[in-house]
Amino acid sequence: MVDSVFVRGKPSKEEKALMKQFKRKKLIKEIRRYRSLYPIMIFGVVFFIIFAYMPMYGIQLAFKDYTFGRGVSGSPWAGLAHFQRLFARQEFWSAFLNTFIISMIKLLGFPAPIILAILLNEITSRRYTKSMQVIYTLPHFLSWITIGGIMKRLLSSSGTINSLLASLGNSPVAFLSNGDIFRFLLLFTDMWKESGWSCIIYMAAIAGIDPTLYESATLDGANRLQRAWNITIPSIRTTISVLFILAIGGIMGGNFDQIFNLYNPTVYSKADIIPTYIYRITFEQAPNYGFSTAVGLFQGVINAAMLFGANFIVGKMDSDAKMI
Amino acid sequence: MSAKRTKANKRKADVPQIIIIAMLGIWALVIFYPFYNALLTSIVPFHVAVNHPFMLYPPELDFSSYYFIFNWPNMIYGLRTTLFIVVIGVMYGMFLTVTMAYVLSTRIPGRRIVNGFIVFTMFFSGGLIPTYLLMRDLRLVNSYLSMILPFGVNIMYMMIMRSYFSTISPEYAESARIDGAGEFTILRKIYLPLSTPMLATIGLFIGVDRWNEWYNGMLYITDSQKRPLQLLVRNIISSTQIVTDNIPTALRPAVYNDGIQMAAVMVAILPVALVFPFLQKYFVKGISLGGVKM
Repeated sequence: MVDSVFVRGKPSKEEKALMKQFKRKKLIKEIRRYRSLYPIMIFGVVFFIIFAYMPMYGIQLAFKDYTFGRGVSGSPWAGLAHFQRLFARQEFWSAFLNTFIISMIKLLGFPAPIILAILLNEITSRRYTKSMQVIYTLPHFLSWITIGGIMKRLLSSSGTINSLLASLGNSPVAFLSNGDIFRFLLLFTDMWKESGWSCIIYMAAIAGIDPTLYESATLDGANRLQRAWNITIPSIRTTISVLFILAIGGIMGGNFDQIFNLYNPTVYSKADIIPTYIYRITFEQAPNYGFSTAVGLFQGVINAAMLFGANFIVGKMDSDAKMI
Repeated sequence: MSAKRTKANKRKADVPQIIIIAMLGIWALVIFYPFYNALLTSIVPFHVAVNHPFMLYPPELDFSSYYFIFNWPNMIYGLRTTLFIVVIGVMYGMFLTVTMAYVLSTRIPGRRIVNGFIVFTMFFSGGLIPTYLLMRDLRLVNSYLSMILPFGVNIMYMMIMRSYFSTISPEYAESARIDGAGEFTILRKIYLPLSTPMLATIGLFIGVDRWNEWYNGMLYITDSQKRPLQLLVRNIISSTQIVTDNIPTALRPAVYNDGIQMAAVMVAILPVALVFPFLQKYFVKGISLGGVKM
């Protein structure tokens, strides 16, 4: 009966207009309903405009010759001169490559929190699990300044580890001044500081697995390793893939705090990443604001493209985990 | 064969458990020992530290490293600065985070646009120099506010808070609205009391972030008496001279550089280490709720 009125297929012009009108009415009604909430949002929106969007105005400096007296908008245009100089600089390419290589090395630490979560989940004593978690998450809450200080004291040529090695008759290891070892030190300290924290997310995912799966697997004679491999990991694979893709997306970001507080001039060639490079050319040498902005923009664009890509793929897999 | 394995498993069911407990314990020691070593270094005299590189307990106590750093006037100023930015920073950050999260947890028209507008800033930012120039134009150079104002909304915390708010049934708010309550009243009287554990968690996160502030202090603070604690610790780690120059000659023999550095590190670590185990259960719940978005 009704079918004869609403003919299948494309809606006619009148129907479209009617629908549009209906939608608009509904929207106005909704806006009116929530009208008193808009003023509350203003504080946060203004915050983002000032501290996140207003700096973007200054990005034009990447194409300008900045002079202090003339300011951002008054300085003369320089075209792509900064980028040409940039691409000719060996130091820049080395920092660019280091940012990539160090992130790739750090990906080796990606399974650490998963393994930690699976192991913690095997423990029957809740108290032991809880107290382990307290210790594992503590470093996340501390600054890289303090962690850097502690690590340097442990690992320097006259530090605890090397004194111990010497007393055992071994030759010292140059943890902080051998670039290749230093890169793995970055992997280790990153795992040391953050794996307990990431572990919490995996533990939450594991807690959502149906316990009867484990019970029936145990009845079938599966051991711990088989249960972890055949039940736990497949059940949390969405979480794992989402976090893995986000980690890949962040590859060109680089961790300024970590490297800035651990490195020294002897490892610049192997550990200087773009953020630390920008800092050094800006604040430790005669600054060229235009040039520094150009370096930042180059990295920022690549980083944003990768993050958007990662976000897009994540959205395909799990629409809840998508950010935009 | 499978029956055999089940039997074997049952008989020594606890052996794998013990191995796992031991593995987790070793990792805990790997995390814990560096802190313990730093603590010991800060409370022993020089000759003990030199003779016992790998200490398990302090054979002799000496707190002069702490005496030296607290007699360095900037240390007191630094603690004061940091406490100030923690207190004001938490209030400021909580206000912005909670209001934003509350509005975005409703079905308000335009929420997707605002969300995109916010999340975009996680992907792309102005960068070091443009931010620096903006801060200069805002007259925030050498101001305490340079270490507070730019940290209004942490998007991760906002998202956790928002997910928590959206678990609260909107019917409470609806009936309050019908009774004529304003939006701030609804937030204050209904949402906040129902989310105290989450507020504690977010407050802790913001507080710890502000306690760990150093980067903006390094970029924008020119007056050495206004530097935050963490920045002073960084300065001490790169050279203990700034502290030891103040020490009267008579006391110089007691000076032990590593001890002074680790004492400074301990002052920066201990407050966090003492507070956070008590809040552990709250933030574990909070992050699980915020889910993968961390």
